Amino acid sequence: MASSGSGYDLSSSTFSPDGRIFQVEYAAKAVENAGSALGLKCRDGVVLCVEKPIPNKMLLPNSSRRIHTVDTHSGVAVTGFVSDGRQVINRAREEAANYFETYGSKIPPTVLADRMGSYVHYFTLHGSLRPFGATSLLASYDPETNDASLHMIEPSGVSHSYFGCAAGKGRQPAKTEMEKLALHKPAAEENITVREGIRQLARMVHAFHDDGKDKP
Amino acid sequence: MDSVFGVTYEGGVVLATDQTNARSILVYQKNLDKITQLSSHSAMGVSGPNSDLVNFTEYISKNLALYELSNDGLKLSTHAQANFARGELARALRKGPYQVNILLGGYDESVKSGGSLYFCDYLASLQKVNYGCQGYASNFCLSIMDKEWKEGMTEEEAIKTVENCIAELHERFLIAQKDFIIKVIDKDGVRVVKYGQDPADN
Repeated sequence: MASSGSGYDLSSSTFSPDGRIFQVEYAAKAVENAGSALGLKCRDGVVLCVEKPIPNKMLLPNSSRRIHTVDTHSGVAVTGFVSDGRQVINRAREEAANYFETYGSKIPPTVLADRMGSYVHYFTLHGSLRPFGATSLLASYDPETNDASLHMIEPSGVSHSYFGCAAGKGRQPAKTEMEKLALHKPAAEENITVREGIRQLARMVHAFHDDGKDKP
Repeated sequence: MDSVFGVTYEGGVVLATDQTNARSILVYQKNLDKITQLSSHSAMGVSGPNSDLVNFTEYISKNLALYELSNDGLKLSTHAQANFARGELARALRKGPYQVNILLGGYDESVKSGGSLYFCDYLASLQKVNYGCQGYASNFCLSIMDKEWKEGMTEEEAIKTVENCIAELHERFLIAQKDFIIKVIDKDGVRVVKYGQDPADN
């Protein structure tokens, strides 16, 4: 991106003359350079996959979890600033727990995604706060409709539901690869299963990994 | 003094209440509809002072409407609505309680027999039941429902049971409650089956 902020990029409560909020765009940049997170909505569930670089041989490989449980029916994969991601996940857990206390039922995926989006968006509204430098991929099951769904919540607070989505370093080739998969054929039986989805995502993460781009 | 009762059947639930609005020895009104519709496929039969009845049911039904507006048309299940209502009763209990005993009935596609009925008293105890009563009616009607209710019963059978309960109250209950209103909730929504006095404000 060639354009410079020149004064309009110091605070997330400032618009640039061409209608952009640079701080939010810079937050998205933080995600672009981080490890890939991929998600696939298959006919019998949702698969989440995260590229987890181990920058240091002294690091315990099983530590620093990247895919988190939000509720018994929801999980979130984060990429970008993982510490920012931790905040978003904690909030999602609170929202889910709160919803259950009020309504006695599991929070529907669309409601949870909406709440997460609103939370992330809030941090783009105040000059004293910085936006989250993390994108969350929410995989969630709705017991009412008996269907699972995949949502992606970006640093701007925007949230959409996807058949396949990717964030982080390998997102461009991943999205191209995903379009080749049978994800949204009208006849459900023709779409790939979760079993196949796991293999596909693992293959993609492996194929698009670039050692040279590993950052600590 | 209010009689409220309900029976679930295969495909829905029947709710019935008496239509008397009275306090102490004075009858204010004889055509009160004590079954308030909450959402497209749920309704609540309420016993208690008219003030709390109206206040509580309007509060719950408008909050349910707000949920649908806020969440892009998503509907709350009967189970969720009942838990929400219970939560509000519980919250108000130790501040300024709603003195209402309710029977919340609703229809959900995802529920096995379609209809579900929730008993919730003014102390905010919530229990899902196949059939239930609030108030003095319990003393007379629960045994009839115990005998007549069975899994998979039809709408006609459920209404017959409700009518048997009303007959028993007419026969044995000290307080004369001539008029009852009966409503059914099924896949087509909430509808009035029968009333003693037309509840409309003419």
